[in-house]
Amino acid sequence: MMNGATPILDVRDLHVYFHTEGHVVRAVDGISYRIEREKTLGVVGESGCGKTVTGLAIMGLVQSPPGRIESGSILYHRDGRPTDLARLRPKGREIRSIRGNEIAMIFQEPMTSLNPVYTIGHQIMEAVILHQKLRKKKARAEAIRMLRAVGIPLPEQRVDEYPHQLSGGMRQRAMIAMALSCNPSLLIADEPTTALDVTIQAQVLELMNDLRGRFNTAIQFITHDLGVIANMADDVVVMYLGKIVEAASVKEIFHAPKHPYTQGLMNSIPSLAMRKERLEPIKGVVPDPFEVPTGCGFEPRCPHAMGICKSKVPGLAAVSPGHTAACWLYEMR
Amino acid sequence: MIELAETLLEVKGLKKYFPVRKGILRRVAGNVKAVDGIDLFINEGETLGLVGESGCGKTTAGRTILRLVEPTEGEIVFRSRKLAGDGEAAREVDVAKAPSKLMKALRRDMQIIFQDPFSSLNPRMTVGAIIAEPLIVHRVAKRRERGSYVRELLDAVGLKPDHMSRYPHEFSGGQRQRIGIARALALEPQLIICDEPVSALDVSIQAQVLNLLESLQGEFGLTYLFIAHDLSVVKHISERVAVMYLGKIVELAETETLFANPRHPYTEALVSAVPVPDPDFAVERILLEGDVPSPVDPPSGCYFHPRCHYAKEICSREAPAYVDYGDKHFATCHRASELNLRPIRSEGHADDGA
Repeated sequence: MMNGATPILDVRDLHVYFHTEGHVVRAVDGISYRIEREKTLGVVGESGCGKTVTGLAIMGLVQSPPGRIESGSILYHRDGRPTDLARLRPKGREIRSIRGNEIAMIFQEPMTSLNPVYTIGHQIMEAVILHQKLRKKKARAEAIRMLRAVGIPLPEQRVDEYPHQLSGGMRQRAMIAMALSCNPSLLIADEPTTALDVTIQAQVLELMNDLRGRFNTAIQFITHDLGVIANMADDVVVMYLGKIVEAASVKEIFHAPKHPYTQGLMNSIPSLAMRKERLEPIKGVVPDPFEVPTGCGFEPRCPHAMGICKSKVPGLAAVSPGHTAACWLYEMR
Repeated sequence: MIELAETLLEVKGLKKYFPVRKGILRRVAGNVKAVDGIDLFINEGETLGLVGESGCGKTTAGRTILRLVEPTEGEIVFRSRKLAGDGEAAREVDVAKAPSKLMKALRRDMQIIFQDPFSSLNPRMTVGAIIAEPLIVHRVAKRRERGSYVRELLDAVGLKPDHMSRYPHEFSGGQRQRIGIARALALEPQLIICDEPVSALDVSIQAQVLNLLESLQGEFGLTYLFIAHDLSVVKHISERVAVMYLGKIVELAETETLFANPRHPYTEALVSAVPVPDPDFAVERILLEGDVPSPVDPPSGCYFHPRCHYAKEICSREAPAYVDYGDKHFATCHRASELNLRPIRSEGHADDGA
């Protein structure tokens, strides 16, 4: 917007570990990425790869104990000054003025993330009253305006309804209304459409695309669905076992995937657009988080594994301008 | 190819209503029309996909066919090979009316794989006991033979024989689904109803299980009714696809035909809503307004008309019939023959608009 060069979010070498009885789970294990202003970054990966924890870490919502941000920084640029979200006290004043206000989050399960004993309107108004210091009457008008903006019919009536009175798609719309009510500059959407049917998913994605343009919000879009990523993201990072294995623009990721894991994901999904006689799955399963391989995390499942992969972790290296992959296949050259 | 195969299962006018009771007298106030008169057939060795959004009745349809829930009305004709008398290749039985003894015998021919690999395996039983249970119930294998038979089954689904003595919690989701498949295979069934077998799995594991189901089909000559909400998966695995909406089949056709030449507006919208994993694939989404109506009180006429972009006056008045438009392409729409609906492009990219 004002400064094209500074990203809205700059995550550097972030480590989030969970300490459980005698074990350490490295949920996020040294990741770095940036989200440019008004852009959408897609974060893809399978369950347990650390994509949700990354989102929670930004919001200061990693439950501690057992979780802890071990090292690294999450630089959030507001008014030209960077704030390191990783350093803020999770219940302190500063994060509370950012969370839900400048950075908002949408969760996967609209049923469990809305409070069942308060009306939809009450829950939207709560954020508006807290952050924008509006009076109750104005906040209510604002809640109605937001519900209308996300396409909920009869918002004057819906504002007084409880979450159980709304369908799944409507609840997710209400969540989005709540998240956008304070006009955040960054929205973290964690699998926002996974629990929805495809026709409802299409409505919600369309809505998010539309709102992105109107509110100038940058989005970190977390999902396991490559189809959704292709439709929503500008840039993509692929995560595996707490690490980023590949990062590129959405076109590069889909047309020229470099990391064997990304390639494996592309080959294992059936697509409506193409006919595949047989799917090519990635062999094996994601390793136990307690027994992560010492070298490259993907080595046991990788068709191109070499000697070095077992012993040394590859770093993210550029394979072409703006496209990085963490794989020895490319570092060797 | 399909013409030569024999029909294994034919469902005619199948209905399943769940009564809604109200008041202190628990009087029936209405019915949830979960399955509201469906007709379909499955040929031997074929995979029929059944798709639809949540609440459309696809799972209930599968369970009613197996008679895990009692049908309200309709016929389920199944050609059982195991029950064949002398000189017969198979015997036709109406599953909907089979007395309990016959039903038990029929269960050897009709099995199911469930969606949730976590809740469908008894956590207190070892894998060996889980897979052997159907053998014991149906007195199929002798005690001595059971162990080796279970080992063979584990091998067939890609697990190791020493997994027999372990418990379900020791396995990942994909492995548990393999255990569920081994259990379904134990009685050498002719028909397996796969109820969302891969939707709880990660994509890389999903592909493994889909490939396994395909190879088992070839190896054992299985017939699948594949129930799923994921159109890409259904398109991949099925020879023919049936689309359900509010308890009715709105369209049924061979997979290629259904996607290349849809005849029902709901199919068109459903297909266009699926996000394609290709950033250059420009699909003009047809956005449906609103949600699926309640099956307790479905709309008049065609159930889809309040959300349909092509609805005319007749659609709200009269329920359309389930008509064969040739080549076994069935659709339930008043305007099926006049509409020119958009297909999904099967290959290639749209011009680079972005």
